[in-house]
Amino acid sequence: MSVVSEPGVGVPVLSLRELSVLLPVRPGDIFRSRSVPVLNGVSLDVHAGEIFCLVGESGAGKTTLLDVILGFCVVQKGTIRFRGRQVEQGRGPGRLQLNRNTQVVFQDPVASLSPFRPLGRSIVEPLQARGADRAEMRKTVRQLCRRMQIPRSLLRRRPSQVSAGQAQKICIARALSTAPDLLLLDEPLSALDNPACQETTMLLCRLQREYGLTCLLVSHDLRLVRAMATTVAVLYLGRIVEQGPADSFFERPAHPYSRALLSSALVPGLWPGQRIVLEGEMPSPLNAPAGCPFHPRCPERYSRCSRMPPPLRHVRPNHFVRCHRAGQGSSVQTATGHIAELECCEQLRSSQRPC
Amino acid sequence: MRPLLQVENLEVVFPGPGQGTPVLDCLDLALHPREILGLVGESGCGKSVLARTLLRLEAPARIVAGSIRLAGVELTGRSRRQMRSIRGRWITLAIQNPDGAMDPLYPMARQFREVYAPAPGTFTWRKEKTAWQEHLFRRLREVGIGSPEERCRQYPHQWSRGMLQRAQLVMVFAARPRVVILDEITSALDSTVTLQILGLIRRLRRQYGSAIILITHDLAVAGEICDRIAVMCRGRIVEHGPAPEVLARPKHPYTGMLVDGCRPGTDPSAGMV
Repeated sequence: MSVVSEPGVGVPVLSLRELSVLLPVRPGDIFRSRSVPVLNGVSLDVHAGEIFCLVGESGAGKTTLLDVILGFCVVQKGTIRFRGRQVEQGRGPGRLQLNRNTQVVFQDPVASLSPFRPLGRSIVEPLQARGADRAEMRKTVRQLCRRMQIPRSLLRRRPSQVSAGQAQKICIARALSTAPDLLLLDEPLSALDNPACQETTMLLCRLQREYGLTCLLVSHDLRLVRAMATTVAVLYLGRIVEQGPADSFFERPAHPYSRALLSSALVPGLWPGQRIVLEGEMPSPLNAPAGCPFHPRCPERYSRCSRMPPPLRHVRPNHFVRCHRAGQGSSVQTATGHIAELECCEQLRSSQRPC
Repeated sequence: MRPLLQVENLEVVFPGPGQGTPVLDCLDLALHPREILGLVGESGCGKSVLARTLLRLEAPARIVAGSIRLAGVELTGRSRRQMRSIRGRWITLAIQNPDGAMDPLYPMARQFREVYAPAPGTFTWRKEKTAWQEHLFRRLREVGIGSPEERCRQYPHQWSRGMLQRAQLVMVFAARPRVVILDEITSALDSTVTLQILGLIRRLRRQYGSAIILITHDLAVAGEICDRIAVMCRGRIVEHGPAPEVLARPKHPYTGMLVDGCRPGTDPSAGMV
């Protein structure tokens, strides 16, 4: 059973099915090692022109997921498909396609720029790696500077001489220089101050509209997710616990953890109801709880939650949740502060469809 | 009501060519008893330098003018020896990265033993070990650290960031100081853990009656628990007032920009794709 796209919307740019990653750990004793699941059956589709946001706290597995897509991490189970073509472990035509047509914007802009190159040369690094000629590189830099309003004087400076916000702008320009099919963004705002965050958010929204970018955004910053996302998925301890269209997610999050996340974001207007304060912290994968991984912290847990992992349930069009409560007649607080009855569940339509 | 901590015309410079680089410029600040004052500003505006200066740990920077009065006592002229008896008892500081403040080679019990000093007249570690431990475990349970007996045998790297911040809070509130400065203690934490720590700060203020300066770059965090907010820009306080006032009706354009940055990042001309 997996979360699949509606039929008829074309081949997804990126498709992950039942991805499981085990990492070896040696707790204490050097002669014994265990494998802990860092990702556990993750499935998602990113369609052309979509901004897919993966939300979660530290320890959820977001960075591991990006590592898997970029080929830095070996996958034990599951498949990755790029434009319908399977991507193999190690080298291969599928991996080559993915690498050539994907660009990344990293979390720390100053650290991801070469200190030896002026910023103008950093923008064309990917083009240079492909053997583009100088005329093409100059033209690309001119176009990008015009589109993104980067002053020419900035191009001569080095990463240490500019602010984090300006450096991130250059990193975004570098990522767009090859017109990638897929743009991966790993917490692009976390190293920036609030004013730079807002500016960069608006820039990303504008570029996405103008270029029709397909993005996979990993972030814990719900302000950015609210501004950019078309689809939101929430990751907890290596599993996707909720996934749905952004409007549906922000209006009525179905999973108790999603509600707690929106409440704790402290963004005005995102959660006008009473604050939900969870107990404890996300456990380590070494001590994953039995049954539902969230149940020790869940304010709505009951007896079944500690015994059985919850099935994936379909609560609204294209909106799925992994929770025993979904489909029961319990009332919950929604984003608008009203008390609403949870929707009745339907059986997941894709259980009748081939995966 | 007379302020508990009064800063007037404070000028601090870093050593440099000529007069030095000014980092705090004619800074005025007042903290009243039992109040939570939010000090908000972008990185580089001098918030942490101000925090260290209030504890007279500003070196290598230098105070060149101004006064800091804590409960009527002038701190700028104090000697190092005098400040050592004031720090910890009257005024304390908690920092953003508690794991950097802990010695990685020793278990947590040893970290607490080094710094946790309950008010004079109670017990010290050497004289009454069991009573001291019981007192510490009770404090740890109060801040939400379960099974403290086992936890104190662990090393700092085995405690999560949220737990280390709770440990730091136990340390700074131990001697019931009149003023506690919290320098970006939630900035490195996840949002759900931040909400827990903010609730804990409110509870500790009620329990110990200390006045708190909460330093943060995030105006939303300040708006959550602070009674008053002071906005800092390039070494000066540009605006201050009751928290709801400052957030709803910012007077200074810089404050207005910070308030706008808190709202959901929507481009008015953009639509969802």
